[in-house]
Amino acid sequence: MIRRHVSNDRRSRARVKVLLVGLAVLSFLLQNALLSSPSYAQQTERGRELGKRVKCMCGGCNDSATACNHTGGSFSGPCDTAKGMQAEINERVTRNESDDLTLQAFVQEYGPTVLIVPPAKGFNIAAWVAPIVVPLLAIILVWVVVRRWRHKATLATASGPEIPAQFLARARHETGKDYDE
Amino acid sequence: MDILGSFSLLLAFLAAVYAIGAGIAGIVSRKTLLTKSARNAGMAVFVLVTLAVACLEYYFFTDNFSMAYVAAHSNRALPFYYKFAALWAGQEGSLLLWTWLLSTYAFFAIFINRNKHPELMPYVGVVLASVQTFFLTLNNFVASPFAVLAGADPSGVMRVSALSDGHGLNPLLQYPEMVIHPPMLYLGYTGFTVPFAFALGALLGRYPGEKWIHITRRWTMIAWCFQSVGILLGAHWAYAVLGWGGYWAWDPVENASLLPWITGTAFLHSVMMQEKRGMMKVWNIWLVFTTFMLCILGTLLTRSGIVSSVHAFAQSSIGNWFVGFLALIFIVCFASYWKNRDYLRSDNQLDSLVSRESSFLFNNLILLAACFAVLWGTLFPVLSEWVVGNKISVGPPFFNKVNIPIALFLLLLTGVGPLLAWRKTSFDALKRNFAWPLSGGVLAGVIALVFGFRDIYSLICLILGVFVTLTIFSEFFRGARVIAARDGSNLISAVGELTMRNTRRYGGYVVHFGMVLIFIGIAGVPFNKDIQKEMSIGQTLNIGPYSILCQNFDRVTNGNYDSERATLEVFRNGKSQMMLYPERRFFLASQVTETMVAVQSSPLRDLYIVYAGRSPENGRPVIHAYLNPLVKWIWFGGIVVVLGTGLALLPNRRAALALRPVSEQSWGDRVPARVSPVGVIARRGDADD
Repeated sequence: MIRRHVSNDRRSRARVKVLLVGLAVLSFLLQNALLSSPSYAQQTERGRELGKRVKCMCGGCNDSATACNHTGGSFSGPCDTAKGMQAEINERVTRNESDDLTLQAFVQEYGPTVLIVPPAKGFNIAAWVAPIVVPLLAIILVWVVVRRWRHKATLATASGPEIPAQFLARARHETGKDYDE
Repeated sequence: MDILGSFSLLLAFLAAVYAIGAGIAGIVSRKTLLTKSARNAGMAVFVLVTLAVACLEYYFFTDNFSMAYVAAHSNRALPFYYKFAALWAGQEGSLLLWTWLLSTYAFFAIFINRNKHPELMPYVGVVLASVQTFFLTLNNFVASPFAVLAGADPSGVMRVSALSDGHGLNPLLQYPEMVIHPPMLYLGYTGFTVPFAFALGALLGRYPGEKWIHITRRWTMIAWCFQSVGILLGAHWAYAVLGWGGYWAWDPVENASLLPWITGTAFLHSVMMQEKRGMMKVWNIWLVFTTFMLCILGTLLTRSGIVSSVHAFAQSSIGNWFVGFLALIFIVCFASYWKNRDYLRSDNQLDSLVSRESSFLFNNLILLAACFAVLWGTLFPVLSEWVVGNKISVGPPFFNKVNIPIALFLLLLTGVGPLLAWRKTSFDALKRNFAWPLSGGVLAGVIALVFGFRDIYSLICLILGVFVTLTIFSEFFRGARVIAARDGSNLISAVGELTMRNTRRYGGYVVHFGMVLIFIGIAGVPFNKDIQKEMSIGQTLNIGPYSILCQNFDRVTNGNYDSERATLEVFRNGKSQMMLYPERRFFLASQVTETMVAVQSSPLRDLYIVYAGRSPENGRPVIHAYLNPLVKWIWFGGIVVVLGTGLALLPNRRAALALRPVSEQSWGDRVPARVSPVGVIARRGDADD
């Protein structure tokens, strides 16, 4: 009975060992397969979207890490830098890190230029605000000017003889447009 | 022959300087002989610069590798048409092309008007010669395309040396579009110099009336058309050559080409306010000035290395010259405006906010907002570096977020504007004119929603596109119906008659329709798909409704490049549709590899295949397939825009009735009952809107 118990114990230990080795081999193979694939980070939609928010920092292109595509290079696809960045994004996505934390990590590593659009902080707020505020101010300015014009304006009578109302009505009917209202 | 090119460039510089001096002297002393002499010198510049260009082309065609510029941008195996295009492959040659196109415009502007506008043309000649002098200074003393290669012989004496073969043309430029894209774009940039010269000349000479507007309208339209074609050809080149599946990346150099196009568009609209109502004179003159300054700013951005761009020429000190020139232009323009601002007083005021005038005003404001947003985004990295010391990136998502709403609002105004009457539009007229187009747009939106169209911007774009198209068609229909009823002709010939009677107005509508097609094409972007896969012979890749079977990989070689090519068979619903051959070319002279994309284009979608090369990990060939909906609409829209502009440039066919002498009878007495009053009212004024 005791012998059978010991033998069962050994078997279960052996099974655990086989399982662990198998898992290790599998994870090694999986990791290799994933890392060697050029579209590793693009497997998750979130990783792909995050990759679009950071710039490939190889210095040879202006693409995002997701869309890196080296024109003129030996391979028209993500370069090693972009693949490294994609892998890092994917790792952080797997760890369920927030988008902000992931982007912050890239900013610490490469500086603010890594972000494909300026963050709405500090002076960079101006980048986002100015294209809205300046045209709005221009519209308000034009509005004020137009109102002043309209107050000043006196309707000038059209030169030439008067157009009979009947004739004008027929014209309106035919065109559906107010030519001279 | 070797020094003929540089000698003629130097003579052109002297002729341009003389044209300025003699022109100013002629204006001040009012001596006709001097102004005529200045005019002739201005035209001589064109002949001399043409000679210089011909010399440089001759050096390219004869493989004269003692010329530094030829050696840097050509090689013996280069096909002849690319040798021709190599003229504008580098900084020096492209500046020469700029000068040549500018001198061509200047020549024709002076020649056509040689016996007209004697009070205005001397000023115009001086302005044109001044701009030419700046570029000729660069051609002669800063970036000469005629520099020779020199080396020391064994005795230490410097002698002209020649390479056995050149370094070759940048492979990115070895594509048919690149033979015509830069000249088209430059024809746009340089073309805006003519309206600038007339505007500044009219202001300086206080030329009476709106004549300068009439003279420059066609010149502006020609420049605008070339700029449009240049931008679209550039987009097509980026699409077909760069192999990233897109056509517009908001690169600083792309943005630089867009800026003067936007302000030029604004000018083409607001100019009607000045012609019709004598309004917006200050606005128009500053729009012309701004457009020209943006052209110079564009070339500054391209050539100075201020902003990082994949298109930009190597960083050089030439940017300082452009900064100086830009500052000088601004000072001259502002001083001229300030001195003569009373000359620009409006004749009329705005009567109503619901009128054609106010729609033009808003159209202009929105266009300028778009221009500002693009300029701001382009220069913000530089500004940020100056202010806070951090260089930041402003990439495509920024431009898309800011500009898409602006562009959609502009599309809305494209539909609204033509339906409003001059001066004031009543509420009844608004209801009558807008009911059908608006209903059509909403119906299109509902249908799109039913078919699963979920992207909000694309949906709005579709609704507005249908709305604008219906407004355009209703304009043609209403006018043609009146003519058909009066003449008894059919509706189609009535449309032709209507169009030819007011080519500017109806040509403008055709341009608007072309813009709608371009917008619809752009609305397809959110639905792009792509997939990248390592493929061996016999393997299949699936994307959308297509199945792509890899049949073969082979190598082709010629003197200019070695090519690795994939042979792919495309199936749809199990049926073979076509063969595609994407390749990668390795250019021997420049030792650079480039992709040649294979595209199967249809009105619904493009199947766009890139042979990305062999995987760096395992050496297996990688195919990148994209499915890009509606791209063809953009190129087709571009063609419609060009046709519309061409139509608008044609002279109006005058109606016989308009040529009758006007009697002092009342309107009712003068018009026979069977004649439509619409035709008469339309002909009362110049219905050239």
